[in-house]
Amino acid sequence: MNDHKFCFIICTNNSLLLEEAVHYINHLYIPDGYEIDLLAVTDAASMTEGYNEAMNASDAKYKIYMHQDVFILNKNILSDLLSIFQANSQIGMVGMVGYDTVSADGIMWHAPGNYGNVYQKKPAVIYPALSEYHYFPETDGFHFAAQIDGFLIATCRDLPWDTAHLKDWDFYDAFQSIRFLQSGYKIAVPVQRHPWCMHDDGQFLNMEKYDYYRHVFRDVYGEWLGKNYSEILSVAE
Amino acid sequence: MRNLTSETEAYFEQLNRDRAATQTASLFIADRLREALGKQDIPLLLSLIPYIETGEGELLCKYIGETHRLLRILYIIRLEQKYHMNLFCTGCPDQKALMDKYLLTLFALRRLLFRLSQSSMEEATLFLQQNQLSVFAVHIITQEDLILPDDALYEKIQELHAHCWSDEEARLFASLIEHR
Repeated sequence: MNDHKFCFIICTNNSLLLEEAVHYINHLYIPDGYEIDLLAVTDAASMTEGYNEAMNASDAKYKIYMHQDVFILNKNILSDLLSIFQANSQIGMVGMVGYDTVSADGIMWHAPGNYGNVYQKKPAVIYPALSEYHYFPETDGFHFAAQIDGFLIATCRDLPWDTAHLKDWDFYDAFQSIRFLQSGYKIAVPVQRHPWCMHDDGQFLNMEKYDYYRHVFRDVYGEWLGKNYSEILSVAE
Repeated sequence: MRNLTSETEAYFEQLNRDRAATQTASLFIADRLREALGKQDIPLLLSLIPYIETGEGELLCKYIGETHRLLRILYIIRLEQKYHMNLFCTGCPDQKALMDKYLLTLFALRRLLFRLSQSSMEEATLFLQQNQLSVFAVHIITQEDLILPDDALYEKIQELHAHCWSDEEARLFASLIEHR
């Protein structure tokens, strides 16, 4: 395992989006002594299979799983992620948007306590130029979460994605969040005064299989519905 | 307190009830786009606006995000046609080409806004010079899509289009962005 390496992992079916996402990645500042790699999975049978294939193919300690329609705006995101992982060795996973509780209905954004930020058309505060984006780990800090949105997930531990239950493109983030917590790793969401990412998903989900996997999630992790991240961590293996 | 679980179940039950009609509408729009763009039949193309806004295509706005972008493109073309400008769909023989052009245009505008690097700006500039946009295309995309235009972006766009927009168009654009 190369602990001075980041690997971006993207499952893709749209070359235009992928190229644009990579364009933003190519403009990130790389911390001294570190290197970056990119694995684009083009023929995955499912998100979890694609992510597992790339995870197993990469020797990078730090992996950033992201959607093809995510554009990273915070050019310092790599050093900022390092500062979060190094702030607490129990942190295994970082997301940009997260929730401190598992929602009762299984839909993570229905949970009450939400954290993080993402580029919006109508923000509460006008965003500055990207050159003015700065994160100060000591003062800005981060929150712990029970679930994080899968549009961007950074990890410093490799845990297999759940291919047994998930055969499509939904709920992999909810399942993986619980898996990390049950393995004793905390999930962090940085406080972002300005959003670190734009997620250009057309503001709608493809709901084709979403409800099916919501029920699967509720069946598999029913005991955690409505529970806080600390309650799940407390029974970690 | 709302009963979230009941609301969620109700939403997905409605989604299931709407599924067949949504698929039918989606196929209709794809067929109409194929025919209209293939023949560059603009009235046929624009007939999709009422279909999506108030007809059977309304469901697509509820469930499929890309429909909003398609509708935006149709609004742009309707205005361009009304004011006898070059149409956004010119050179787009099918739906994929049309949506790709829209995406690439949006990407170029964002690159100008975010100023990632000199080369990023130059690539965006080149794209916009090669695909001259109408004042309506710029205005609708920057006002409606996921981009927060600032004064510097609009100045850059005006500069880029100085040679292709007439004085009247330039004045129209200035007026549109003044009232944003």
